[in-house]
Amino acid sequence: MSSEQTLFHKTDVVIVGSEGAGATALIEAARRGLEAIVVTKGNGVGRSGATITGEADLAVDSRSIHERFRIQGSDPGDSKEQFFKDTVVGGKYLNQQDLVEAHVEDAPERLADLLAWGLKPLFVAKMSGHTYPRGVMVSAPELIRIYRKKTRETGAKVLNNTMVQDLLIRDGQCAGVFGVDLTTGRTVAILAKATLLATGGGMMIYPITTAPEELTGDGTAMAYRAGVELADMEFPMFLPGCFPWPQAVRGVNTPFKLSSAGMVHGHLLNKHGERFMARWDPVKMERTTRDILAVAIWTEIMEGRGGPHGGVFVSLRHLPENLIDYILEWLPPKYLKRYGGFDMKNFLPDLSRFAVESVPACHFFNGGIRVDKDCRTNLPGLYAAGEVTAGLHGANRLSGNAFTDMVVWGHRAAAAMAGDLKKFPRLEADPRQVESLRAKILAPFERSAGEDVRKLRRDLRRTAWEKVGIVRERAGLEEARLRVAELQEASSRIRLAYQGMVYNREWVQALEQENMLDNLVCMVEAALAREESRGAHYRKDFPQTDHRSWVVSQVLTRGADGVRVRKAAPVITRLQPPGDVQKYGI
Amino acid sequence: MEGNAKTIRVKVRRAEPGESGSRYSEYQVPVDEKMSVFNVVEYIQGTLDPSLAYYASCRIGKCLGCTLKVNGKLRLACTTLVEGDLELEPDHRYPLIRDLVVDMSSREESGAASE
Repeated sequence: MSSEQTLFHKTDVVIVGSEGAGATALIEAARRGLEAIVVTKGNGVGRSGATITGEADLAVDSRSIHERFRIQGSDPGDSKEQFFKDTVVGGKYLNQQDLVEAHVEDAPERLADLLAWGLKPLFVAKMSGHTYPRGVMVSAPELIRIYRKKTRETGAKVLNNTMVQDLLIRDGQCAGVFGVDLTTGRTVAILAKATLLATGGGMMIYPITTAPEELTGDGTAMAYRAGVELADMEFPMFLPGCFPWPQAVRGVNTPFKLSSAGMVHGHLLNKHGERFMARWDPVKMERTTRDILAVAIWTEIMEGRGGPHGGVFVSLRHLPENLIDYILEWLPPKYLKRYGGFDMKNFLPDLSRFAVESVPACHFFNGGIRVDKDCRTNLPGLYAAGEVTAGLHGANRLSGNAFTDMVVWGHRAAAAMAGDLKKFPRLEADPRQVESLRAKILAPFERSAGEDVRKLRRDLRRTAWEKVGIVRERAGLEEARLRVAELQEASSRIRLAYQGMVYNREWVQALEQENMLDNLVCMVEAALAREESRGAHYRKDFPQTDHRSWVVSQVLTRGADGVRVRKAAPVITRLQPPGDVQKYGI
Repeated sequence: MEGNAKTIRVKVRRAEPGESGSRYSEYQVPVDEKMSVFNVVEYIQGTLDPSLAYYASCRIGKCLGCTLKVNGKLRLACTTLVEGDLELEPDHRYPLIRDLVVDMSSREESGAASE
C-alpha cells in the first residue's frame, strides 16, 4: 500500500478527456492564452476514446460545404435551417433548440479549423435522417494525428493513464478534480479555476457495444455524485446490426451494412426463417429507420427467436450467386472487406450459402450532463462538452452529429471558460474532502474480505442488457431497480485480490463499477418514469409516442434517498413539436 | 462452442516496476473459434488471474494501444487471431509500466505495430 500523499497540480483549466471534445477545447484554450492540464485514462493522446473508432463523418449543412469548402458531393440546396430541422425531427423534439442553433451555426467554422490544420476531406455523403448530403468523410487516424500534433504544440501538461474519479468542490464551486495515477497508484488532485468534462459516454455498461473499453460513464457519474443535473439518461442509442460472434469482432457493424445501410439488400430472418420486419414495417422492411430496426431485432432475440450466438440472421440467399459475387466486386473495397484493422474475410462466410448473425450494440449516449449553450452546468466552474452532455441530440442522434458535437462544443467550452475565468478564484482543496475521496478510492485495498469486482461487473452488464436494453417494460425495470440496489450494496464491499498499486486493472474496474452503477441507476429511473416510447427509448407497455404529455426532458439529480427525477420542457426556438399521440418511429 | 472447444497454453511475461530478469505466468485458456489475442488476455484477467496488467481501448485495430509481442512479433492484440499456444510480452520499444503495459506517451508518433 502506498503511503505517499496526494500529488497536487494547479492550473487555470483542467480538461478531463484527451480526444475529440477535450483536444478541441485544449487547442482553443491555449490559443486564448489559458494554462491547461489535460487528464486522460488513456495511454497517450489517440490511444483511447470513441473519436478514433469512428468511420468519421462530420455533419455540416451542405450549402456551407458547397460554398465555402467546395467538397465533392455537396448540395447548395441545403441550409442551416434545414440542418436544424432534421436534427430536431431526428431527436424527436427533445433537443434543446438553442443548442441545436449554435451547433448548426458553428459547424462550418469548426470544419474550417480542421481543414486549416491539415485535415483532408474525402467526400460528402448523404446519411440517414439528413435531407441533404452533410457527412464530410474524413479519416479518423488522420484526425488523431492532427490532434496529437496540435495538443503537443500547446505545451500543455497531459496526465496520461490517470483516472479522474470525482470533482473537488469548495464553497459551492467546482475547484478541480481528484483521481489516481494508474502507473503509480498515487492519488492526484488538480486544482483549477474551471473544469471541463469531456469523458464521452457510458456504453460499456452494455456487454455488446461499438465503444472502446474505457467508456464507463465516468464524467456523468462524478457530476451526478457532486449534485450536478443530468438529463435524458433513458436514451442510450443502439446500432441495429453488429456481430454478436465471433468474439474478436463482437460489436463490428458489418451485418448492418448487409441488411439495412443501403448498398446491399439483405434479409433479416429469425430462427424460423421468418422475415420478421414484415410485422414492423411491411413497406420499408429492413430499410426502415434504425430505431424500429433495433426494437424489432431485440424483440425477436428476447422472445427466443434468435440464433445460437444471440442474434438474428442476415441473409443474402435470396439473391443469385453470380449477383452476390458481382456485389462483392463493385462494393467499395473498404465497405465489407475491412473494418478498422480487421480483414473481414476472416469473419464473413460464403454469403451465397450462409447467413451471419446480427445484434444491436450500444453505440452512443444521448443523455448525460445538462448544459447551456456555453457548456455551463449548474455547478459554477464546471463545464461539459461532447458526448458526456445531454440536450443537443434529444432522444436520438443523427449520423455525423457526434463528430460535429465534439468539435463545436469543445470549442464553445473553451471560449466560455476563457470568458468566465476571472469570475472564479482558484480555490484550495477542502482537506476533508480530499481525505474522504482518498479513503474511498483506496478502500478496496483495505478490506480483508469482500466482493470480486469482476463478477459484479459481469452482473451489472447483464442486468443492463436484459432489463434496461432496447425494449423496456415496467416489470423488468423494477427488477433492474432492485438488482442495481443490490449491486450498489455489494460494490461498496469490493475487495481486491491483487494488492499491487501499479496499473491494477481490478482497482480500475472497482472505480468504474461505481461510475457505471451511478449511470445505470439514473437510466433505470428515467426509463421507468417515461411512460411512452420515443427515439432510443421504447416501452413495450407504452408503445406510442405521446407528444401531448411527453415533449419533456427528465432532469436527474442525486437526492438523499436516491435519484430525483423532474420534468423540464425543452427550449423551443423555431420548431414546434406536434401535439398528438403518434405511432412509434414516425 | 460448436463442438470444437479446445484449450491453448498461454505464457505471459510478468514484471513489476524495477524488476529485472524474466518471469512468466502460464495459463490454460479455453478458446472459441476466431478469438483474438485481446479476448484471451481479457479472459485471463477476468477469470483466471485478476493481477494481470494489460492495456486495450478500441478493440478494432485503430488506437494501436494493445500492441504486444505475440510469439516474438509485434502485433495488435485485438486484430490478431489465436491460432495455437501463445507467448505474450510487452512492446519492448517503450518503457515498461507493469506486465504487458508500457508507457506509450513517451513516443506518440511511432506506436504502429508492424503488420
